[in-house]
Amino acid sequence: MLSRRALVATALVLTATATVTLTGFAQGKYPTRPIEVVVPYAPGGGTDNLMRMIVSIIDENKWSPQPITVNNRAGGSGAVGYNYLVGKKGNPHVVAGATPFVVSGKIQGRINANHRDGMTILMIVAVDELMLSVRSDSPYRTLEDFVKAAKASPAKLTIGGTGTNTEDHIFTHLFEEAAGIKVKYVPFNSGGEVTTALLGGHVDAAVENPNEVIAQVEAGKARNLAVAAEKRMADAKDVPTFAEKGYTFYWNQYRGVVGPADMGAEAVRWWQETLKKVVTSQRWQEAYIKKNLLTPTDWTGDEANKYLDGLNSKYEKVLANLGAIKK
Amino acid sequence: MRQADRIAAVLLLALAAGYGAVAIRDYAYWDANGPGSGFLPVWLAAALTGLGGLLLVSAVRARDPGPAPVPRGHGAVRLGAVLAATVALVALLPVLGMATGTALFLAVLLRGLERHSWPVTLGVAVGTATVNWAVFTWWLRVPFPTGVLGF
Amino acid sequence: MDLLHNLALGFSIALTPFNVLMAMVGVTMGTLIGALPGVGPASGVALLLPLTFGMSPTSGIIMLSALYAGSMYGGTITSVLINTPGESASVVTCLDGHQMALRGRAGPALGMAAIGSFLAGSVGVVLLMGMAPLLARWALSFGPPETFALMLLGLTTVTGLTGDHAVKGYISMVLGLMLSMIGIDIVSGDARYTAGLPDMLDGVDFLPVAIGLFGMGEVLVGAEQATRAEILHGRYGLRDVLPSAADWVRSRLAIVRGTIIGFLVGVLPGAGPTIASFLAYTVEKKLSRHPEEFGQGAIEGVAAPESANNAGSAGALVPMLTLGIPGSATTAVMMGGLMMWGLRPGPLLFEKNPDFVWGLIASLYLANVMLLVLNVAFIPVFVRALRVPYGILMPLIIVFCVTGAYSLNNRVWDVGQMLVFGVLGYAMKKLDYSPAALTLALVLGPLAERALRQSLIISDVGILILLQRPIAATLTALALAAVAVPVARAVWRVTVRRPAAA
Repeated sequence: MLSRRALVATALVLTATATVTLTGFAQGKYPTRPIEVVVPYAPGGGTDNLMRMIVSIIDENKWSPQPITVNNRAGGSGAVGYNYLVGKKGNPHVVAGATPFVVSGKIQGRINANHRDGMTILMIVAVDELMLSVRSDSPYRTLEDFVKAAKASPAKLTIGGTGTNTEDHIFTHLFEEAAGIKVKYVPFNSGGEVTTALLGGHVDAAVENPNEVIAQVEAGKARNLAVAAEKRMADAKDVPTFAEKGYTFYWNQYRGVVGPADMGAEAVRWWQETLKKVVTSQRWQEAYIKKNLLTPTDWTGDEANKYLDGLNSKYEKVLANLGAIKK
Repeated sequence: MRQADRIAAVLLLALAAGYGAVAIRDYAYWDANGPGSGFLPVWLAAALTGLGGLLLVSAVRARDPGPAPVPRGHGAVRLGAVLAATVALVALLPVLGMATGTALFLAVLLRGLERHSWPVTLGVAVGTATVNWAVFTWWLRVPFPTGVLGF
Repeated sequence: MDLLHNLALGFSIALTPFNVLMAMVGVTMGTLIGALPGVGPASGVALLLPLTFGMSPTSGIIMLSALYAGSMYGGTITSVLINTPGESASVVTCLDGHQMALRGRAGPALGMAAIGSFLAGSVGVVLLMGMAPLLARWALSFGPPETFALMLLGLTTVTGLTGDHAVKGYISMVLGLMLSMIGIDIVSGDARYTAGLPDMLDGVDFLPVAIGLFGMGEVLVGAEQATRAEILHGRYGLRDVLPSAADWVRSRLAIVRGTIIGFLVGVLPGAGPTIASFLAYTVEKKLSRHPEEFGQGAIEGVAAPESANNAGSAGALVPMLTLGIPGSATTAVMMGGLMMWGLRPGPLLFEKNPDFVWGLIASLYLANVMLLVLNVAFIPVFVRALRVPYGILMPLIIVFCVTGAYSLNNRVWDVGQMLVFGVLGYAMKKLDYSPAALTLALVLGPLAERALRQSLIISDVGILILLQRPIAATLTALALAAVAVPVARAVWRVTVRRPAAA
């Protein structure tokens, strides 16, 4: 450690650039240095699109005096990126796109910490609903048709979704419990593959985010049976909720922004204020919320933490049921 | 080649045994819907055992000792030097940073191993490190490890 | 005619000065991004995406798809010159491309790659234009059983990559399959062979392995020799880099087959240009009258995969444009872009945004012409890189490999992985194992396993589902034949011919 400190000292003397960046700490208001936005997933995914949209809105309005770069640090279904963030404790200039993996990752032992002990939730900006969809020529016109058929022949109907022990898998599990049925869950590698299998008729139904299936519905190729939300979606009023059909369960995926622990009050406030400006902007409403049929939110502080706490206990219960928690 | 094949065969057999053992211990061979996560690993371990056995038998039977398995003399020194320098570069990346690390790496190999003149060595080392750094960090926005010097 | 009318509309959009400029920017950036290892087309598209927000969606997609096409050309350059694949669809080009370079034929290798790419890319666009809806329906008929049967067929072609020593070839393939099991198994949710390391949860990434086995492995072999046999210097005038008449005769069918295989595989969800290039190579070797020349610098071994990856990248646009479903990582990023521009990719895109779709199609013709000119014109420049003395080139290649592996996911882990596979590649080369078989098995393994288990979950009749469905049954039969025919031939030789001779 000593030699490293000596090197830093040498660097201070030798290089002007190092001097400039290091003195940046002392003066001025947050952000004092360029900001790194981590996307713990590969380019092209939901979190990648979200963070690039947020950064592009901040950039076009010049809300940040410092440049913001988006870095994809993919690996371990998010584990690599979130562990990187957890390791940046006390550094206010690194934030990441948040997914439910922030809580479920720790439960499964893949991230070292969650929103309570190693990350700071800055804002939950939207909720992505999950729906059960079928092909338009499917014999199951309604949710009741599907449940009736599933009861008549248990463990025969197939529901496709992304991955195992994931949001789609848990959705299927909760639906089975609520409706008292048994189906076969078929895991795929990506949302695109799920939709392809649905349209090709290789699965009877699929778990879909609204934005993955809406274009198919518009083209008359698919039909949504129900959404696992508390209210019907604002932009798809014709899709009933599971609860109103008598199969009461709620399940969705939130999207948000998270920082490391100990960011400092000033940085947290800056992000909350800036994100508030983002989510109230017209471009956000039109090009992001409406296009993706998301439910907009702007939860911060206690509200966001409580939401994540609730989510955490749900995950603990369901993942234990599914046998996904290793002792 | 004969010697090398024997060593390789033994290593492969050990790998197969370990791989198969982990598969049997940790992963389900068969689950409700058919083959589980342990199914293919078990069969791959079995296949490698068979192939490793074949290799061992043919290596034991082979008459011709073939070329030496390990490089000797000058070649070994050069190989060792290049490998050691690369391992050092990778291990020290987080400390040195990409630009400093690659410049030092190039300098060491060009001067120490290839005996180029100092002007050539420094020109290539500093030039490459600079161009590399500029292209990746400025143009492609790749966050290179920066190290203690800041670049 | 409707098609001609649409095409005229497309060209009227693509040929506006601004859009021509965007296509030029796209192909140039794409060629560079393709040539740099690590940073692939998906990251390249993500990088340029913010620049497109100020433009019309059509100009934006023209730039991005020109970049995609350009990266397929660019990846070839480093594969041929220094045996280091620039992106994953060019890995297989190393096998014969670099051998040609060592024999002083880097020029014709790059020339044939450029021409093959151009022909395949252009035919790919024609197919995209004329048959997209039909192909989309065909792609949808590929469920898990069909995918498994196709991967099975692919795995049987690995036998074509085994080299001189059959046992060692099969060992290489099994090692590749074993490596491909590492990471989260999406069917059971188990994390297999990860040693509890988060970096291993996504498994062994294919590109660091390929950069290590081919690029780094080759460097280590070269480093060992104090006085390396100099690369034969050919003449590198523009005329010398063009393939000869003999090259043409050998390659023309390879280009045709590469194009067909590449396009069809590219259309399929989850497969993409990388698998297309491998399959095209192995099929070409199987059909060749002189398979022993493959791996020694056979020009068909460059022509086939390079045609396949370009046709494949055109094919990958089919599911995106007709169904609104991304067929590859790169098209997934493009679709993110479409949404940000305010378009909704989906089955109605052709109807609702004809100027967008036809502008894109026309610009792809344009991009391919530009790429042909750009690549052929610059071959003499690229090839001069080989004149750098090996004592300087060798450390530079290592820096290239290190930077490339890092920039793939921005993590040092991948650099370490590249280095480990570099050492393995050195050993495999020295001891006659087959790095190519390992790599192909690593790509196909997870797809095959996943599709098999998905099929068995869906099926009510167990493994017989493979025989119930016509496409799956045909592919399975072909795969079985690929294994059975050589065996039967061997048995026939032993039992029938021997007694007769004796």
